[in-house]
Amino acid sequence: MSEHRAAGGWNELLVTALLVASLAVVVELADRHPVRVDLTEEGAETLDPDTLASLAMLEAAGSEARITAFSAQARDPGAALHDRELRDRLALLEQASPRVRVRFVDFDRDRVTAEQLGVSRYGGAVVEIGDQRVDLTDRDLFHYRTGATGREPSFIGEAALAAAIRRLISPDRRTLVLLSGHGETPIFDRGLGELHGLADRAEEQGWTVRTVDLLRDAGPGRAPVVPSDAAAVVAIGPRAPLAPSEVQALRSFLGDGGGVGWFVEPRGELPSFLVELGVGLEDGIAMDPATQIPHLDRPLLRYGRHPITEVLGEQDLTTVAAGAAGLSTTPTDGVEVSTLLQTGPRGWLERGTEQPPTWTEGEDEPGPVLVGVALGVISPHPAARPGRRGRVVVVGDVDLLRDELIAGAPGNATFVTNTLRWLMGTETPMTRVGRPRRVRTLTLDEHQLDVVRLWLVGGMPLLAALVGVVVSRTRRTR
Amino acid sequence: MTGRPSTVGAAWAVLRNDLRVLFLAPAGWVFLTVCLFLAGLMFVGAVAETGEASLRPAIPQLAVTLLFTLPLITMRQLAEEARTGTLELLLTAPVRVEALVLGKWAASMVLCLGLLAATAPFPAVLFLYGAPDPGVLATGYLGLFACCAAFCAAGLFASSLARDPTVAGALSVLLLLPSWLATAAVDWMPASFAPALRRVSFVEHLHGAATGVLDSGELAWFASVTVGFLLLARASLALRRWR
Repeated sequence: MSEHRAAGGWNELLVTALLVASLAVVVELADRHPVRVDLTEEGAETLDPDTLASLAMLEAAGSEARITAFSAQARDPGAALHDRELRDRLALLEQASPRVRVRFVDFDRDRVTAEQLGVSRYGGAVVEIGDQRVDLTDRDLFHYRTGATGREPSFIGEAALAAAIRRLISPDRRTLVLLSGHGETPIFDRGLGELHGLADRAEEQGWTVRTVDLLRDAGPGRAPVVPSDAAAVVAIGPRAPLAPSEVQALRSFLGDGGGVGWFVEPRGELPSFLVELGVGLEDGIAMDPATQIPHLDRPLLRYGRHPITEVLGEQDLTTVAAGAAGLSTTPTDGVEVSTLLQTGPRGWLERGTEQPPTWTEGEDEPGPVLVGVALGVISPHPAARPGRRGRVVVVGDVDLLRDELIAGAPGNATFVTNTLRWLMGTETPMTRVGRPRRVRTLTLDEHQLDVVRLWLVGGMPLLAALVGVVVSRTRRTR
Repeated sequence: MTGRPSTVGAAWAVLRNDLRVLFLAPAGWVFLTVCLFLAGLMFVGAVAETGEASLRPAIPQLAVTLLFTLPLITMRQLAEEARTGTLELLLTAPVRVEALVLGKWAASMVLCLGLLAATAPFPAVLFLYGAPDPGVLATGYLGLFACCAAFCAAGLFASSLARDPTVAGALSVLLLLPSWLATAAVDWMPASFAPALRRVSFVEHLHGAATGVLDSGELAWFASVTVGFLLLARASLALRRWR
């Protein structure tokens, strides 16, 4: 009988051990092949397609990226959130690719690692592939705003990290030339032009950005030419007309299959080579009943069908302009016209000066008002060389490139990046970029916090205790 | 002559009986009161410190609170029966051991559901003073529920091993403590230990749930820990039968 019991006991133990072991196998399998479902409203826990494309490039190249990130200064307000966000985002990258190794370093505790990498500032990151590296600063990774709880960080660095990986894998550095010499808005002067975000976007793509004054750089008596390494030339808000020789240089560059971007303000001027392509600048400002409140001159723009705007339309990301000029197009042989940005059908071209601006029959032009257009220039257009395809984007606004709108409007960063990608002729997919990861915060003052504390720490447990007492007494009286 | 009841029917009977014991005796209410007090402290502390409109900063702390408070419930479930001698009766009755384990575990889970429901004012505060992400809240609660399931199962196993509820409670905390300490150890142990420590840490496995992500790996971990401890509890009781 006792042998039978012992056998039964051993059998029980064996079966349990086998079942527990099989559970361990299940955990191991689930760990190796995880399925993740992101239930956040903004897909905050999902990497951008742009980043995934960079990781796919890393995989294809067979390289391994090492990312070393450094903590914020502990005494800084928002340091804990900064570090947590950074850890989370790096963990996402590590989860997404076995070829990414991340390391988070407490800058205060582990100065040795910082010194080994030559890092002397808090909050940045170093991306290394082989013996090459890209250094990212705290400003590349986070955007700060002052909120109810003090300095609140939003992580904006996913694009910068992805771009760093891309830059290290692909040594091909294309050059984006910014035109100067005609009163263009400078992009490198932080705080002055407030267009530094544009430079950041270009840097993120791994491009070299250079400012070129065609006339001055050519030298006296020599015809200006677009630098041979330029993949695209962009003019941002030129205020003075171009010299005929500059126009000729740009026409020639376009004819060779180059990309030209022209961002112009109302009452600005389009160079003759763009007018020849059938693009005109209307007199007036594009308005729409749908605006970025409280700015009445900031219409929420609609998209036409074009690779630049495809993802924006699909994901319903609004691009916002501010005081934008209306454009017109005229059908021209050898020019393929695509609408990029326009107001809604209830928008209008405001020609009056009344405040606030309102639609005035007979004075204003009814919408939709064209604000951005993309052109493909091919033979038989006289500017195009056979077999080449020039790319042009004309946008009736400079403000949509400004840091404020790139950071504050959902679609501007993607619109700007995809426009530059298209002009530069890159193979990079036209994906959503630059999505800030916002930490949602409470608006709670000290008094309200005290009320919450009193209710949750005092009231709720007390209520549970009271119910318990009542139940207990009721039971006893029965 | 009555036949042997089905496993579900027997588990249901055990569940009802245990719920009656839990809610009609002070133990269940003391547990709820203590838990709500500690959870309230954790939640308000997290809100005051981070200002985040999310349960995220509070979730690991709430889970740790459960680690120390749930044994208050589970320690009595089998050890008390063993101490009073009613466990022997149950084990000799025509009731499958599985039904006994499942019924007891389900009773503690009902109490946990009650506790989680009683924390409804937490998200209410978040919605009142901010705009929390409902997805993050939902997965956060799912994570806490998974934690409860695993801790209740571990507590039940500990309770099945001891004849004294206090010993069972201490054993339950001791069983779960390494999983919590592993979280802290990740930072100060050599980096080569980190993957192994992360694997055993329940806080690490709450990360996805706390951030709004359903991760099959994390869910499988909690499910396996739960089922594993329930199997061990079952084996422990079955061995008593064979003795």
